[in-house]
Amino acid sequence: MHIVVCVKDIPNPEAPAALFSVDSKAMRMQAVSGLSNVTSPFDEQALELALREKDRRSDVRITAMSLGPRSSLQAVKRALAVGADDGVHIHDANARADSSMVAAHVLAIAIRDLGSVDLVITGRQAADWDVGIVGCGIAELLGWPVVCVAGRMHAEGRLVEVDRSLEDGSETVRSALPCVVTASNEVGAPRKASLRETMKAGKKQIIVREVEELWSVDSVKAAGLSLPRRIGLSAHTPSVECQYLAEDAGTAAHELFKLLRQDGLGLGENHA
Amino acid sequence: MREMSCFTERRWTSDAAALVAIESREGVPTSQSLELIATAAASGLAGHAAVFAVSLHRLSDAGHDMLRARGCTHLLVPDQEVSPGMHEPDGWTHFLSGLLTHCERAIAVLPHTLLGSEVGARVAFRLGCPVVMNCESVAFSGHDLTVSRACFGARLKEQLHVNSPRTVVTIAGKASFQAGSGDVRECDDHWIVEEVELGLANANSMIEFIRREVESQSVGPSLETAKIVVGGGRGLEGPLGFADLATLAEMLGGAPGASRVACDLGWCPKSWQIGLSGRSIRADWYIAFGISGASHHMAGCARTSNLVAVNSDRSAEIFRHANYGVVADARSVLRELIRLVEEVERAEQ
Repeated sequence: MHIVVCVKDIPNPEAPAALFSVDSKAMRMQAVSGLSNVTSPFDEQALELALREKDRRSDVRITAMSLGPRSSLQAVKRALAVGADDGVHIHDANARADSSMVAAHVLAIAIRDLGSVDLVITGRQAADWDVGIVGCGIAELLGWPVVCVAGRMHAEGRLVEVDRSLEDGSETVRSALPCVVTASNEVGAPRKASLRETMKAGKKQIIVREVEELWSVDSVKAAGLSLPRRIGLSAHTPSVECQYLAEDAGTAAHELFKLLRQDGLGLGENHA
Repeated sequence: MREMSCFTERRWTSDAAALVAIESREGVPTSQSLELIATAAASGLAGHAAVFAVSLHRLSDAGHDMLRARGCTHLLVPDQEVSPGMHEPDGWTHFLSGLLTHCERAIAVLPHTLLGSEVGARVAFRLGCPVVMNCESVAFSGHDLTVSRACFGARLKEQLHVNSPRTVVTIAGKASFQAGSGDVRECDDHWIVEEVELGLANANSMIEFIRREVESQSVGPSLETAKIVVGGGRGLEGPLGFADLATLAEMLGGAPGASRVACDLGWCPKSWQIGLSGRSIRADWYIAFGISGASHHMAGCARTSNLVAVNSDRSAEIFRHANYGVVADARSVLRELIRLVEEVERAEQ
């Protein structure tokens, strides 16, 4: 079974807010020293889902695919170091696929080019622009079924069974292959790179493709796409002054409950 | 009053249509969908386009009344009952895409839930129209749409401009709609439930439903829609602290949540996780017990109106984000709050 896992290299979303600086004229994030890049967290969980299949059966091949500037190659290398078999880096030096809609088109073309792919796994959304449409987009463009927000997955023959998260629990569905699965936090903590896999990673193949081979300005027109255009980007820094309540637990609980009651809340059903 | 014509009898060329997706449970629209249709019907969206509620499922009479009470006049449902085995996102994608193809100018508006975000994305790719996810405000001016949304874990805000005959947007909890022209569409006092034939049986789902499990703790609202969320972290010291947390959430009619570390330690279900790789909340009140305030967690609660931090470590990062702070042992404050609510409940019975 050939699984493609899409991994995105993004600025560390756990870095302090002060490091998220904006070039408001170019409407882009600015590179700031001290802000390192990581693989988007849900993509790590996507890779973990694939690796669990590989742990379970011997016929699984995992290709890690990343789209982005030269630094995105690192996301592929990190995936190889935890157990992916090979990688594809779609080099996008000029941010041609900056839009999530275009990214889905480019990835779908690259996946189709690989041929004989059985399963594509993406994170449910990337932790930079927080859009979350790429997995669904790839599925629609390839004409494949998609199962979103997966916590567990088990492939057998030409079928894959998936537990997917819902707001009030979970449901289990079975999809025909090929299909797309998007991974959620219910997958659990992803594994870390082992010394053995890291040593092996250096010998694994990474194919580098230029985004222009797959997508051009004319492609937008040819696909009949109308894309949202960014007209503003700014840092969002809410200024909050903390009002401290009593330090005695009983008194603090009283004060807190009073605040809730003043707002008309505190007992009964409270949902928007 | 103007004559309301049937949706399928018109080509929506000069007049724009707004299709608002209504999610429901057992025939009753969800609170988030009701809020969305109320905002749509009473705001600039109604000035911009004829507003239609869209539901994949038949709604009960009570469900109809709820929509009418919020200014909705026209509900579109499929002409066939949805089969119990149909994968819900497949059915929705088929139905909403089909409706949009009837319109030359339209905006599809969905709540940014797990279902709404999947369906919104798929409909947009299926029809090749732009999609903007998780919008906080939407402004119309002629054919143009300007939306504002949070990104990078709510650290940044971006504004996007869309100029397309058909657009899909998903809406964060309490988004606003504004019309540039300011003209208000004449209101209808009709109530029409229109069954639309779109061949739902041919939705051709490749996904088979097997089973559904509702979490025992999910008697209250979901994390995404709760007005009160009580969250716990390492400071609750173990599963017993989280049992107390669930008790308090139920007493307050809210939802329980947790930090990533508490979920990873197995002290509570993983579905409770709030944060970058978990759920995003938009509560009026979020009471965080024993949570340090790592940026991973704060990304999921940046849109709460009032954050109360309870932590014994005065230097915890969470106090920098909190509206109210309690520097005390989280478990003690939690137990005191439960005792207090029990007392009030008894007194009010």
